[in-house]
Amino acid sequence: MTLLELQRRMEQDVRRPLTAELTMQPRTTEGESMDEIAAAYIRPNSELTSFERLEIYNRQYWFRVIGAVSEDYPALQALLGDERFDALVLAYLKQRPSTSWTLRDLSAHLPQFLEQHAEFASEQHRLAVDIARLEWAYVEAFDGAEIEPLASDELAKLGPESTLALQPHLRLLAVDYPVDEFVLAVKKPEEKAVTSGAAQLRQANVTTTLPAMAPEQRYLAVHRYDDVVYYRTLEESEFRLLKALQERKTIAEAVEIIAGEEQVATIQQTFALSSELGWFCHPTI
Amino acid sequence: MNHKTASNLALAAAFAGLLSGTTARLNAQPVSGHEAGVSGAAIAAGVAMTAQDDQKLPKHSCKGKNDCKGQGGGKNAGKNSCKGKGDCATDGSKPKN
Repeated sequence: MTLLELQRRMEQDVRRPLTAELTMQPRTTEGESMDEIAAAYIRPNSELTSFERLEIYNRQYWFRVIGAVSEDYPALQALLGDERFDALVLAYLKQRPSTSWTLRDLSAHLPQFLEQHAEFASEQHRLAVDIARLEWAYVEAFDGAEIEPLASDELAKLGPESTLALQPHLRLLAVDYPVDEFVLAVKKPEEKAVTSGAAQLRQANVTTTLPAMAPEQRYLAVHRYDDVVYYRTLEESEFRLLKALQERKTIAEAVEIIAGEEQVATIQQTFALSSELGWFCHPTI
Repeated sequence: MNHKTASNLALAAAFAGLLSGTTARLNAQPVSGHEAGVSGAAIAAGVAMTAQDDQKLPKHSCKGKNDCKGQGGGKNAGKNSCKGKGDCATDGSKPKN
């Protein structure tokens, strides 16, 4: 067996899905014995068989990738509960196995996957999808690129037919539930100070109270400012305006979408806020 | 008000907003040697999505590293940390007490 063959063999064995009891499969899907396969390239020792030594890698691989996905969706996990969430993650990873050098991208398609698989959230499906979308928007806002915002001399050159790009880390979401409140309750649990009378020791007693969710249309801008991820709720007209600009419509076209006597103040406010936060940058990037 | 007038007003509002927002942003730049305060832009940014203590932590700091903490691996399946307990040792050795 060459080194390349050995690497491919082990990759195949390590990435093979676990049993329901989270142990290594005793046989491959082709019916080959994993005892025999492991023995062919892993030496046993006094403590462990070849199978058991390989199984450690197999299980660690899956625990790591499951953990990586779970880390991105704590609020979704809180909504679904551990059992349903674990089932969702395993099904997702089966369809979307890791193909990138970075685990950062592993859970990128979970919102779309959940969208197509209502069975994992049953009657909470729409809510679950919205939570997943917001949590992934957080990941993208956290490490999305930041481009130098337009400077005042560059703004002076803009006209109605100019296009503007929005910062890559800015994510605009239309959701059917106030999921920002739900995600915030999970990500920012309420801290209660507990003081010990004798030692005056302060302990943080972190409690999470999940808010009840009823359908309510919301428009959110998730973005990074000064290395911290924030969200803002937007009016529908603000959202539509920014969305049009993000889709590279010209300023005149974007403004036209919501133009009307009553919208002048909204337009001015949206452009002011966006430029104050540095959201506008060169469209060439 | 006809359509063209409304469009012109809307465009004027857009450019007025662009200029005022940019001016506000430039005026909010931190001054060297001064403690950063809460600027208007920081307020405009909205609601921070993580607890204060978590904000500066690198996300996925353990991803890609050979640290089994919290992954529940080794011979003890589940969610318990196996770091430092020898459970990750692939030769089956036991942790030293």
